[in-house]
Amino acid sequence: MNLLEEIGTRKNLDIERIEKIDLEIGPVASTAASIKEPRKGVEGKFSVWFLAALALAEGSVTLEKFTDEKVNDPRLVRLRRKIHTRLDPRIGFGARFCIRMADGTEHKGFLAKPKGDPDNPLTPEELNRKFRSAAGMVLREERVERLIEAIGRLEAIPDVNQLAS
Amino acid sequence: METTRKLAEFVCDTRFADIPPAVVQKAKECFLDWQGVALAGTTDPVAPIVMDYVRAFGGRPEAGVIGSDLRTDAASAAFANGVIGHALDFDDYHDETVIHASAACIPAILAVAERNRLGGEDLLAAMILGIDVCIRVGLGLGDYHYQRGWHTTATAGTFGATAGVAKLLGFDVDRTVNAFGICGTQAAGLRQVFGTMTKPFHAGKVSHEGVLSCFLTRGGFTAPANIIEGELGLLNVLTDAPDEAVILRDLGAHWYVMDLSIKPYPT
Repeated sequence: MNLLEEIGTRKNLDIERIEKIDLEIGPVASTAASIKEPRKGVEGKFSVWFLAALALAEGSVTLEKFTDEKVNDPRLVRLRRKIHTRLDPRIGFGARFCIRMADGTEHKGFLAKPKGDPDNPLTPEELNRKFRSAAGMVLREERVERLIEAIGRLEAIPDVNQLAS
Repeated sequence: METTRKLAEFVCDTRFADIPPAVVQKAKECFLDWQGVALAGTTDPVAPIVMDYVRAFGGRPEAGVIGSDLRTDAASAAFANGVIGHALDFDDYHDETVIHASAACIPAILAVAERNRLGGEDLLAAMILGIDVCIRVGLGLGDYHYQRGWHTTATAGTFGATAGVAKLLGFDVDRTVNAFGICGTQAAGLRQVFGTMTKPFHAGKVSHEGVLSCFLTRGGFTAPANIIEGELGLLNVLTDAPDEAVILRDLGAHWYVMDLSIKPYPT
């Protein structure tokens, strides 16, 4: 996914001019994210086609994008229908893709270890950004920052009940 | 081989000071990530259902339900936070076993740490040991176990939650072995439930089992001493291709929390 995000932002691809995308994924992605035509926002999370289209078109896959509206966005629907997946049992949680444009040019990529894997970890800043986006759905900004600070020195906290206050 | 006992000895003998700083750092990252994902999980439709359940049946207020003012007994808090923490499927996982380790271990450990007013060092040591134990048990169950349809978060995960709570309660080896005996017979959970609320239920279930198994043990409840390796135990019943040796391999030298992947995307 982050491979497609990067391609989407870096190469500035005109997604309307994409003819076909071949995507090879591993067994977990293909069984856990197998909804071909998602209609509801939550179904988007379990659709490798929607996820790949979103990554490519918008350059970021974040929680607030799993809405009914986004899943049914005609631009994303058109794009995801151009994506053809194939199972490669040896690929694990990695991915391989080939994007063919209308003019015949091809963009290829391979990622052995997905972002977040211990061999390709989130940076502290990326981890904090994920936390802010997730916790920020229910907590005020000041509480979110206090939690980041408190958990950063968790071993020094004498009573874990302090985290909840 | 007394695998269950050796695993229990490791849990009992390891102190916070024995754990390398890099391992503690990774555990803090996993804890932060779990907190964020669980807070966001309170917006999932599953959250009001478990909170209503806890309001109706929960006991005395000794531990909190995340993102709310609700306080209840440790076992109920562990259950609710377990379900809520895995609701979005945005929490960390171990690649090879596909165990959602923090989701399985943290809720029970946090609830008991709150109940007993323990500190961050205790919480982190229990979490690191719990995660280590559940991944080791998951590796022992082998690929076949997951492929057959078992959800390892729900089967191996129960050993992690139980190890963590046993550590917090200061159990000796016999008591830890006994608690494994109680949790091990509850090792269940099918992948048929994926895509429904019953998938995150598994994280709640193992969290609850961790608290239940340890507090029953404290009361004198008996259980077998060899639930992992026994003739009718975990490895002989729940898989066709067990790997008993991998469970104890590099114990205390390789820390499996280091192998957890933190998800950048909510899938």
